[in-house]
Amino acid sequence: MIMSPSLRKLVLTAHVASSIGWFGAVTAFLALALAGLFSQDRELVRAAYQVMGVITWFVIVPLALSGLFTGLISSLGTRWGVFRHYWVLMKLVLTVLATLILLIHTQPVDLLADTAARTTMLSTDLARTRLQMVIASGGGLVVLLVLTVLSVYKPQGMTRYGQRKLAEQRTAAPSVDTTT
Amino acid sequence: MKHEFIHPTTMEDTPMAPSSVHADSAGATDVDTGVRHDRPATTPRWVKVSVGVLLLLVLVVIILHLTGNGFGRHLHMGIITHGGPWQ
Repeated sequence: MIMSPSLRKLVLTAHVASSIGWFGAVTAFLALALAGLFSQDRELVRAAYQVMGVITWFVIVPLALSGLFTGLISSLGTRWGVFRHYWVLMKLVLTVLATLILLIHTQPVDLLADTAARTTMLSTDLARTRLQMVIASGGGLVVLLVLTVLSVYKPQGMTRYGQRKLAEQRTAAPSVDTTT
Repeated sequence: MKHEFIHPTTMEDTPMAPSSVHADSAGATDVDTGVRHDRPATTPRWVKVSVGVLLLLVLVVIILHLTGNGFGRHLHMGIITHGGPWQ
């Protein structure tokens, strides 16, 4: 079903806002992860990991799910479709993968936040998990940047499914040469 | 330019967007999506490269997990050492 122009713009606005928010929140997360990994100030490190736990559950996860959901509605409600163009399909795959990886990483984030709340957080504690947070959020930012590039440039290319659907539409509505 | 797949007047006749496509001598361009429909039906190079990079990354992650450097080991070690939030 094709959405009306006003509804399409509303959903698109929600999608863009969610995506921008997701990007900004992950950037903040990366800054906190770097502070937690390299800072010598124990109180700052403890605060950083506790804040990371809060923004993960109350900012990043909701924005990621919102971005995925509004993106799907935008695709389904316009002639772009979900599976018709490679760039849309690529965005869907990357967004689903990024969301899954994010949800998996909520466990070590919770572990760090809980440890920071209960202990003095020595610099050697959970060193690999702390490094993992930096790598994961850095990788996440790269994926989000790729998603942004795909949205802006919309590289050409229709899938076989998209080509078939287009051919079906042409068959259903006989062509009229408007160039004459 | 080849017109193997779509005639220049392509989507102009579809019921969904009767006035959203204009035709010219070079082919049809969808005004809403900006997509040209006169391209050959092949998988674009950027898709092949992207899928290759994606598969490579997945392979690296699998190898890291199999060699004990993956996510699961980090989490289990953390839980064993510190008890974790589930106690």
